[in-house]
Amino acid sequence: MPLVTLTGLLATLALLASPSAAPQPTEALPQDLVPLRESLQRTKKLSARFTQTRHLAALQGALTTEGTLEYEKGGRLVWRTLPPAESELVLAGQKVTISYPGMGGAQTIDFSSDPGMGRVFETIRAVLQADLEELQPLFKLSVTRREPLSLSLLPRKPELARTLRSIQLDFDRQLRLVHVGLTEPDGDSTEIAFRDHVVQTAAP
Amino acid sequence: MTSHLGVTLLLAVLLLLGGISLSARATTEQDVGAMLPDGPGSPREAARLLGEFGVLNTLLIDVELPGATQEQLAARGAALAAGLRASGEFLEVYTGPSAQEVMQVGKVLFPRRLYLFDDPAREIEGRLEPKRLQPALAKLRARLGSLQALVTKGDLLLDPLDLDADLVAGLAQQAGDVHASDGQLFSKDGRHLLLVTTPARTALDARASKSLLATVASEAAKLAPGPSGRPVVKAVGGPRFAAESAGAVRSDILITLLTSLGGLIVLFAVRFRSLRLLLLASVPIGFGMVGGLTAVVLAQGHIHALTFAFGSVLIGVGIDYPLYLLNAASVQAGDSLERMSAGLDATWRSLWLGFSTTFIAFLTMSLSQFPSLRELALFAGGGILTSFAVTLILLVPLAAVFGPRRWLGIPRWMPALRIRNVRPWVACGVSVAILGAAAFLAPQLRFDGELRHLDAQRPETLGEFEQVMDRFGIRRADTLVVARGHTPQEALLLNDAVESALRRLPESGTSSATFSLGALLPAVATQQARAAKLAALDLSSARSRLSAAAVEAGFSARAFDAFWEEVSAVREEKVAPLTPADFEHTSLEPLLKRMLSCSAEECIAVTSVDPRGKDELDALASSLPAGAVLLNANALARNTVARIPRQMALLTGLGLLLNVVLLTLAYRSLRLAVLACLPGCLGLAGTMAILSAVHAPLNIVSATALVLILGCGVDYGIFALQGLASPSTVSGVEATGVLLTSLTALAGFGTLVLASYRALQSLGAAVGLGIIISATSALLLLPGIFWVLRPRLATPARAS
Repeated sequence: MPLVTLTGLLATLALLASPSAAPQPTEALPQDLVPLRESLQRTKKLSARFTQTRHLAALQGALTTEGTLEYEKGGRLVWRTLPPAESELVLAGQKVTISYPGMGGAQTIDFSSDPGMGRVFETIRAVLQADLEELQPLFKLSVTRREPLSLSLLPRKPELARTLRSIQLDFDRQLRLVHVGLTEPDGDSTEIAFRDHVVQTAAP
Repeated sequence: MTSHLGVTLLLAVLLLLGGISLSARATTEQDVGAMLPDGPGSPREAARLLGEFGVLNTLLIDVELPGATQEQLAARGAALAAGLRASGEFLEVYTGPSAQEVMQVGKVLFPRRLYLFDDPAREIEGRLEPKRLQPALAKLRARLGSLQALVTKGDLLLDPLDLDADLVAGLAQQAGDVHASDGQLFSKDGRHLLLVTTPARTALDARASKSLLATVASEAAKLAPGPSGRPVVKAVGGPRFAAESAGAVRSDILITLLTSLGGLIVLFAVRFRSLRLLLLASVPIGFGMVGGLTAVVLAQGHIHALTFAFGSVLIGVGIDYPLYLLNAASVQAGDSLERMSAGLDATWRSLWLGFSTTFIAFLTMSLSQFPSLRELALFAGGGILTSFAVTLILLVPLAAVFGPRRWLGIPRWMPALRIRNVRPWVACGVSVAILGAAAFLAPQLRFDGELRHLDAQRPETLGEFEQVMDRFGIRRADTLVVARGHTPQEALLLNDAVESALRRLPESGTSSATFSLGALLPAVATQQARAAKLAALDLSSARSRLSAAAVEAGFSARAFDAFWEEVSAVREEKVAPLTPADFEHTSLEPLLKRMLSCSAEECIAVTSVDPRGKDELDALASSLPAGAVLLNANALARNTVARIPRQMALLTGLGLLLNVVLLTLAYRSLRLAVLACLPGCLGLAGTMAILSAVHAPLNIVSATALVLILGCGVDYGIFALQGLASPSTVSGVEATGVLLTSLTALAGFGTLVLASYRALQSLGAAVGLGIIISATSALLLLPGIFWVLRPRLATPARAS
């Protein structure tokens, strides 16, 4: 993995994980989100296909990539982007491994030596898993639509706001995450649409 | 008599105590390089630098976990590193750069990356060629699609020409075959993990090194097994060599001491039937050691450990004087005092001549330009002088009071020693044959100046060390290029010229692996010159070419504006150049401190080179800019240390000449002087001929032994000649003296050939051969040659 990618990634993430961005005292979860929390708590395993569309000022058109997401509650989260932009991000326990199979090289970051970095990756995991308990201290959550559920997340701290303007999380009627919209301060945006969910839940 | 003895003893004890207290203040030098001439650009500085860049104070730990994944191996490596750190025995346990450390270095380097290219304008032009630009843009576009690009977008767009990847690859290439991952260092195949540790105490502290190895073994034993077995942990490097060498030396010393002591006890039992005399004969040696140490401490305040060890061996020859004296006394009549007085009268002249010739040999050694040889000459000369003085002053009264009440009569075998079995023509023929063989073979004698060949490295230990170095592609820092300057920037500027010269070498087909500071930290002047080169770049043309290609690859026309802003900023010198201060508190700081160091007088920047042979080394040397110095361990050995044996041979020749002059004056006969020196000459010549014939090289230690062979051999000649020219009333007493002293020398030095420490081994071999040949020559050949060469007008009375 090129150093610059790692540098940029870590620089931004370290910023996010700085003491001033530490979790704030939690507010009570809005009543509308309680069913979502219960549904997520029942999820043991999930896999889905995704289509990510990025709209960048630096690009003439949209940049679309396809891939898969897999995660297991308390276990690994694997974000795999399929060719031509092949890459893989594996978040497991106290480590994240980023690799570019087509370009060679992999980098593993151990959170035990960098606890701040660990918090940052937990935030990414929280967004992808719509983990409300984790997200609530960092973002101001508001329900923009109740049926099917749609949430808007606004950063609580300016440090985070420098990287993200807002996040939109959309769920289907079974409370499965089907869309993530990320808007950056410079107007660039990323849309991630999930489909073909395979969810394994624990008995209620 | 009693009061005189009391005063003498009291004075001697006071002097001894004074010497001991003075010696206790001496500091002991252990650095082998301290044996070489000092000063800027000197061999000592070269040895120091080569030592610093070598693995003397580094313990490399190779961890293998059979059947395990890299992740499992990393976990064991981290556990071992934690255990070693907790032990407190290590100054540093380096596992590999953490992501944060990499990020920190990236923050320093990447904003100033254009300064790190020799010609940034040419670099940009080259990368704007379509065949390089199109893949770079395609790669960039692919990376923008990754999840992590959510946060790395800005940095990715700053590098459309893929400069950073090549910069990182270039730096990684300098680190060898070590792959950093997960904050750990792995071998290429990912099956081995490397910990680079720096002990808290110097590796030369053998006890600390031994404890260090025990800690590694104990922490390794705590590691959990892998899928296919226990972890395999190998520790290699200076501390292990030092610990093993110290162990070998301890056992060598014990064996030598016991064999020497056993030999002396047997000799004294057979010849004198008295162990009291052995104790008395040892007194001058004890005084000699203190005297030698005092002489060195008074002259320079410190002593090298090797001088003390080797010098003590040399002073061991001081037992010869008491032996000659006691041997002569034993054949006299009367009580102990009368015997000792008569023995002293009989041997007085030969003792003085023997001492003077040996002392002259050490005096000539003090003319050497090598501090080590001068120090050794001072130590051995002071020691021999003291032990001789104690023999003359103290031994007679001591033997009179504490000697045996009944002396053994003349042994039956003693007169038989006088019988000459060798005919004169045979003796002359053998002597000529020895000298002829030496004349033919000695020029082929090799001189081995490699100091590392003197220690007790076990082949298995060396093999393991080489294996680990190869596995992780760690370069041997045998060759360094040193660039000097009055300031760090001056040294860096010359270092840049060195790097530039080395970079041109691959073009001429003699490629070298190099590790240069210039790759990370060029001089400010170099960086400014590189920025100026950017002025040659047609910015608008380059920018429009990139824009066109970017649009074609799906980027917007202004996607890379930030990159061109960076180029403009560097051109206009708005970006501060890299300085050593930028690397403070980064993981590269220790490396920089080693490669760029300043003293009160000057600064030096060091480049490590790994040439593939002598031809390439010569090419390197000839391509360097003026002021840069190439240091090569082999060349240092060849050109500097190897001069020590050559110089020893020359100084021994000079010593021999002075001995002949002294003896000519004493005997008033050149023939007798030559005869007295003949056993020593034959001993020297025979030793060199045999060493050459068996392809055993002379080294710094065995070459120094040449002085000892000469000293002992001439002594044997003097006493043997005394027996021939003015024989004692008791037949064979002089020959017995020669036999006794040669056997004690053999017991003391010859047994060193059994040592595992190669310095001692070579000393034992050289001295053993020399003693045997010179003593045999004195006892068997000299009588025959004496009857041929004796002065026609000389009479026994004249010679005595």
